Amino acid sequence: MPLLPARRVTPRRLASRRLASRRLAVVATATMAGAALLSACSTSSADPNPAPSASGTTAGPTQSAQARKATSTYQRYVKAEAAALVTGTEQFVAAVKAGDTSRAKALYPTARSHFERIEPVAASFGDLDPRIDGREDGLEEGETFGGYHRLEKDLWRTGLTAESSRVADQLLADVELLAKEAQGATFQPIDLANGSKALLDEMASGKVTGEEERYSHTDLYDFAANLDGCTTALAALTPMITASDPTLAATIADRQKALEKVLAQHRTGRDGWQSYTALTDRDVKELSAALDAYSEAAAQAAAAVA
Amino acid sequence: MSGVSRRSMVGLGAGALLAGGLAATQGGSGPAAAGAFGTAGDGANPADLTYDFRGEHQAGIVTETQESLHLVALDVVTTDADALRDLLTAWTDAAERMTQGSEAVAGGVDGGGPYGVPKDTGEALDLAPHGLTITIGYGPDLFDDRFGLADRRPSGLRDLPPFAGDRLDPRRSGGDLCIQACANDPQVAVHAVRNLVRMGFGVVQVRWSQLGFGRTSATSTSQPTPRNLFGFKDGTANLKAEDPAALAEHVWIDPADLRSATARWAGGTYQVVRRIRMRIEIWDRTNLQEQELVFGRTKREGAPLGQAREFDAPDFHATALDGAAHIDARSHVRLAHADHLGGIKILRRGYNFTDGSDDLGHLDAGLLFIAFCRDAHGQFVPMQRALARADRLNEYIEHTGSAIFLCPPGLRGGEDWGRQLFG
Ligand code: HEM
Repeated sequence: MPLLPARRVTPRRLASRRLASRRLAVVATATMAGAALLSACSTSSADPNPAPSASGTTAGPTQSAQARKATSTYQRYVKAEAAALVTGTEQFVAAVKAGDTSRAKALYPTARSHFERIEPVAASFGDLDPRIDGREDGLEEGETFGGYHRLEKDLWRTGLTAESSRVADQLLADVELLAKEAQGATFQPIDLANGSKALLDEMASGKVTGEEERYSHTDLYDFAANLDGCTTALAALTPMITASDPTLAATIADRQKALEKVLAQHRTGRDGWQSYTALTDRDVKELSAALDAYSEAAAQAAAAVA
Repeated sequence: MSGVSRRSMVGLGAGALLAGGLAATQGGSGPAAAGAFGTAGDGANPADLTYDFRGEHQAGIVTETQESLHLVALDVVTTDADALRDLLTAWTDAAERMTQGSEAVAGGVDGGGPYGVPKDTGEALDLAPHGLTITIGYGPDLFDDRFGLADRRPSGLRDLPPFAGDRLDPRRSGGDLCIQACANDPQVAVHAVRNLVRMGFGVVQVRWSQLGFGRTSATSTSQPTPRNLFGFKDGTANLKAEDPAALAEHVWIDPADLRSATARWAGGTYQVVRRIRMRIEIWDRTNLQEQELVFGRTKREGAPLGQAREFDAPDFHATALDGAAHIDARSHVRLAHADHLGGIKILRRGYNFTDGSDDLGHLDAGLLFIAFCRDAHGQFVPMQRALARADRLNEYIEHTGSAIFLCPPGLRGGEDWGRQLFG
């Protein structure tokens, strides 16, 4: 689900949306001018709460060696996940278009995991996030329901139709565009910290509540993917956090381990997760407590690397 | 002075007078209960009222009942005793600060700079202390084998037995720990709980919590008696702060009650919490005579039936012209009265609550009954058994939540809750 529900579009967001659609025409060339344009719509790093953003390499402040290492590590992760998202989505889309419901259902949670891992980055590219991952109740009047969650509904609720194929084609086009954008994305350490917080907020509001995957109940795949994205960003920052606040770094590490341990109880097979409907109230409470604990510590990371 | 209700002015004036009076009469008899009587600020603005955090007993027990409550029950989610101990120590500091009108942490609202996450949430920043008290309690399960505390559990700290008519919801019952925040401004109470809960992530998790919006008890003779949601004065025949002998007999745990391993709990008390739903709509269509029969008191004055004034003693033998007792044998006050329970008394300190409405459009409202007693199983339990068996009130109420906690004694200078429990 997009981090900002579509109906609460802020003026800034509207501006970036307009910019994004203008940018779509030139983006294929991925010129330096395009990158600069991109950085113009992201917030400056003096903003205490900048949205995780892709910023032009020429525009950002110069980084320390430690910061460069952190951001380039994370950059590689983003590129790899974006590429995997394309591959996974290709297979998923092929299954949908072939009318192979059971294969499509099996591919759905793992294909979109790659999106969930880098969702805050996707959220900085105009309206790609709502187009790929928007929920029906997040639509504004006149908008059509597409993307992964539309196909989720088709697969689990309404059944595949000819319209599903069109939605699938559009999804693949959007995902490919996202991957292209991601190739040129660069980050500041604060973007990593804020991005990890955004993922944790998503997990608390959408995943641990079972709201995201209303029809498929594959919320734990998203939960695990969000967590992976978050821990990767924070791991890249660990040397910086340790340098300024070693106690915080230790707390983050401890609580990450504790959360992963709780989550691991819900594994099925080698790389699957239990259906959300199989969780008891107690399970959900336990996950939520571990997530709160981790989030409370992780939220301090931004101050430590700022 | 604008915006101050006459009622709170009257209450405060009398309280301040009394505090002086007590200090004079007590002489050198040792430290008083923390915050039994408050200190109004220089300008005598009731909002500036504060209660001492430290003292022989915790504040928030015999303290003149404030107008608002936020009570939260928590479970410990770690098995790391040191983490729990550290949290209790940190809570002590934050609780003391907040009761004195400060942020939970020094510079908590914005001292961490633009990238820092504020350590105090800030919604009480411009509010006066409003008589905030924060009272901690420990549930029976805290003394199981998780933290090595088993031998410190006083024998009186055991789960309550089931009572006839209970409809208890496990999601509104029990808890390893309890924090009771009371203040004359609801936002001050909620702020206190919110900030303490937040400090506890990773160590504790909220099990349930309840807001109370109006006191249903008087715990000081200086306070006017409030009314509960059935419209009756509540707290008339209550133990009061001005009667230390009765408090020693019925409320404070005595050293003689304890084995040596649990001696540290002397001066504490047991807190019983019952969430009691009141069937408001049914009550509201009940005629006055029946309503008064149920309680055994008049609605307007709160006098015992057969008497004229609120504080007249009830006469359970007095009969009307037709020969029937004025106060019915199954009325609430008769069944709950000490004379019919072998002298048992409790300190009641409950709050009205409403959680909005239910699916049928009926108020989900009632009384968050809170009682303090020296021996819950010897006082609250027989009293509630007597009520559960026969009380006419049962037709109009339903107990939906239940918990028991041990409130430790007050802290003296330099002590904290972590050391008090683990030291
Ligand atoms: C929704 C539930 C309840 C309501 C509405 C209620 C209301 C009242 C009212 C109006 C009075 C008379 C005024 C006064 O003396 O304070 C009273 C007295 C009293 N109530 Fe309750 N009460 C409730 C539950 C309980 C429970 C659960 C207990 C204890 C187990 C209890 C114990 C007492 C006692 C000890 C008295 C004083 C009796 C006397 O000595 O005259 N009440 N209550």
